[in-house]
Amino acid sequence: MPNILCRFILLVSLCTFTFQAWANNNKFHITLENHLFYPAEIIIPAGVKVKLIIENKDAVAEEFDSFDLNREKMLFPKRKAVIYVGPLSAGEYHFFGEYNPNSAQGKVIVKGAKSAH
Amino acid sequence: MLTNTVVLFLREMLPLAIMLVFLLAFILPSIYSRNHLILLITSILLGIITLFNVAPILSELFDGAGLEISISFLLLLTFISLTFGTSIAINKNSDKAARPWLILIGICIFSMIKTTNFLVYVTGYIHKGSSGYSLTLGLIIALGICISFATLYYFALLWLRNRNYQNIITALWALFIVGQFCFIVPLLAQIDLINDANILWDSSPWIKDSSEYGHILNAMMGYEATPSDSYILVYAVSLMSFYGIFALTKNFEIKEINTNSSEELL
Repeated sequence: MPNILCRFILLVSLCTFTFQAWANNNKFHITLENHLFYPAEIIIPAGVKVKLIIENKDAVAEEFDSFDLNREKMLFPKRKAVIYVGPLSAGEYHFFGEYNPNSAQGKVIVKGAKSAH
Repeated sequence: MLTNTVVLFLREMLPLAIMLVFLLAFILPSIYSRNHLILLITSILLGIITLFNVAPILSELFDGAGLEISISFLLLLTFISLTFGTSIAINKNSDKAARPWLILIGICIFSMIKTTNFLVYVTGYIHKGSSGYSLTLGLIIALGICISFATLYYFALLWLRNRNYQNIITALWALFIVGQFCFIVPLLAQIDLINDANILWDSSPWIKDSSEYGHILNAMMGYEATPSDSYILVYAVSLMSFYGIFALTKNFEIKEINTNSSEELL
């Protein structure tokens, strides 16, 4: 019985560790400051779902918008927002700040086998 | 800033204008009083203040999914209340008590969502201390475009009604409600509750999402240049539900008439 329990705990720990490693590899942080996205370009692998964590450091709200990614999310001041994108084919996907489209711009560059365009 | 204000205003207010045009053309004047209107406006204002203040807190709940879940729930409520409310009103069901409140709830929630979104933009603009000239001019232009479109659409709907094209009117209303409801698909996709990565077709060479036709068709019927399989599925199921509810209320009316006729004979 203790043997089975140890194996079970080991299995659960392995799964958790694997999931955590996968989760960390698929998280990308973006900062919005002075109506600019940092980094403005993010490179992600093709065919994988990723989690974008966007922190708005400005004192005003912004709206993360992307026709290419089909995503639209309000970024409240001094708060973080989470957006999942993908799985995507290889190519470039533009996003921008709806409220300040001339300055807040960026793109997601997907690198992999298939081409989207 | 001027163009931005116009685009954002139209994006949020045009669907609202289309909804009000439909209801004004067929339902509202006949069943509502001034008291209903006062109650509606008060509810919308309270709703906007509440959502505006609560939204930042909601946005960080449930690992950043709180706002999307809340808005999706509100859109579902809007879909249910407007579908039931208008189907009962159009089929002239005998249960008169429920009909006004269902439509009022639908209008209130939908107005709350759309207006709050635009209000966040306006308050941010004011907070920046920018000149109000661009904002004011943008609002005036956008309001003018909205009113012009709404007026034309209103007369088009009246034209259809006068020629007894009830099926076309119902279809347009169905497409509108379903289109607005299907906004939950990208909302739930961006919090990883739905997968929307499988794009079925790409009609952007003809009508782009970002073009003026794209915006208008999106407001009128939920047009997407690159719809996913999830989007089409939700759209189809919602459309079937809409017509199912209409059929249900119509059958209920026929049963009521038959029951009343039997009672009169006895």
